[in-house]
Amino acid sequence: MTKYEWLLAFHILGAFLLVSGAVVAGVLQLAAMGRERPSEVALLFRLSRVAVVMVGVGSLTVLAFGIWLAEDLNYGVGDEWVLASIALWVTSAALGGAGGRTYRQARELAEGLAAEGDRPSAELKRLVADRPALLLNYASVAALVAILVLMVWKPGAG
Amino acid sequence: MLVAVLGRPSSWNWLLLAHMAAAFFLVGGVLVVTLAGLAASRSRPTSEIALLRRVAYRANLILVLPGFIAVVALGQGLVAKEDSKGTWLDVAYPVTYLSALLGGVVLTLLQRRAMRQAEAGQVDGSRSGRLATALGPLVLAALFVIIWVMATKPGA
Repeated sequence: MTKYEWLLAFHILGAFLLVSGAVVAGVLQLAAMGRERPSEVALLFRLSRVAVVMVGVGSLTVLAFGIWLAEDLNYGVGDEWVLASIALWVTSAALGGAGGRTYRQARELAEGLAAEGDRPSAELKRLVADRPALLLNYASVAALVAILVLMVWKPGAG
Repeated sequence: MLVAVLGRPSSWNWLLLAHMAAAFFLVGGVLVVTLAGLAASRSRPTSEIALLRRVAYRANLILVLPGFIAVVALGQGLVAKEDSKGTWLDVAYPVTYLSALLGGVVLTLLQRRAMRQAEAGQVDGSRSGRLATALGPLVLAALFVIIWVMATKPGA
């Protein structure tokens, strides 16, 4: 395998870890929204911690190998589509991180409630279905989609 | 993905975009199925096992099955447009079709059966549950082989 093939393979594997991890977190969050019992909400949010690790590892892998790949192909980090992609990557990470804080609170509350009788709670339901957190996560995913569009079309690439 | 494919005419870039988006959803779906299956195989209350089996079944039905169909159909479209040939396709096709059969059809049926058994309180020794739990990671491994082959395209 050539250097280019290795770089591309790890770049794409990083992208799959990042985006598929986001899909997993989204599915488990939607499943948690439909549950009442704190133990069930806690179970689903505990599972989504695996997705959070995947998103973190994938984010760093896709960025590092992406920049290396761009340099290797003489695109340069200064090209507009590469710069725009990096800006969108930062935006996506910031939005996803901000949205994720609410779900961490929800998991901690659910674990506490599960240990104290496992009765449904209005506060937990509000946190799990928190609209701002949901919108932040949707915006984070939209930024990832925009990156994918830039990667496929590469506007302005020579 | 930076520089996913070099030199592709922009007129069918949307095919690549849709193919990759479907692949991301497919892998995400198989990950949900795998995680939920492994979690359900641990000793825990019956209600939690039923919940995990339900999540796995729905992910199989809503993400994995349509994901396989979309990935294969859009991939075929790309191969036809680009007149692609090579070892990578000889490897990718059989692994994809086998994964689609096992992950899309067999796993969905197993998850449905395991979910029904869990909802009825029959969780101990459920063969469907054990098979579904074992099949998820296998399909996931096959998908990563396909991703590697797609990315590096040996013999192209």
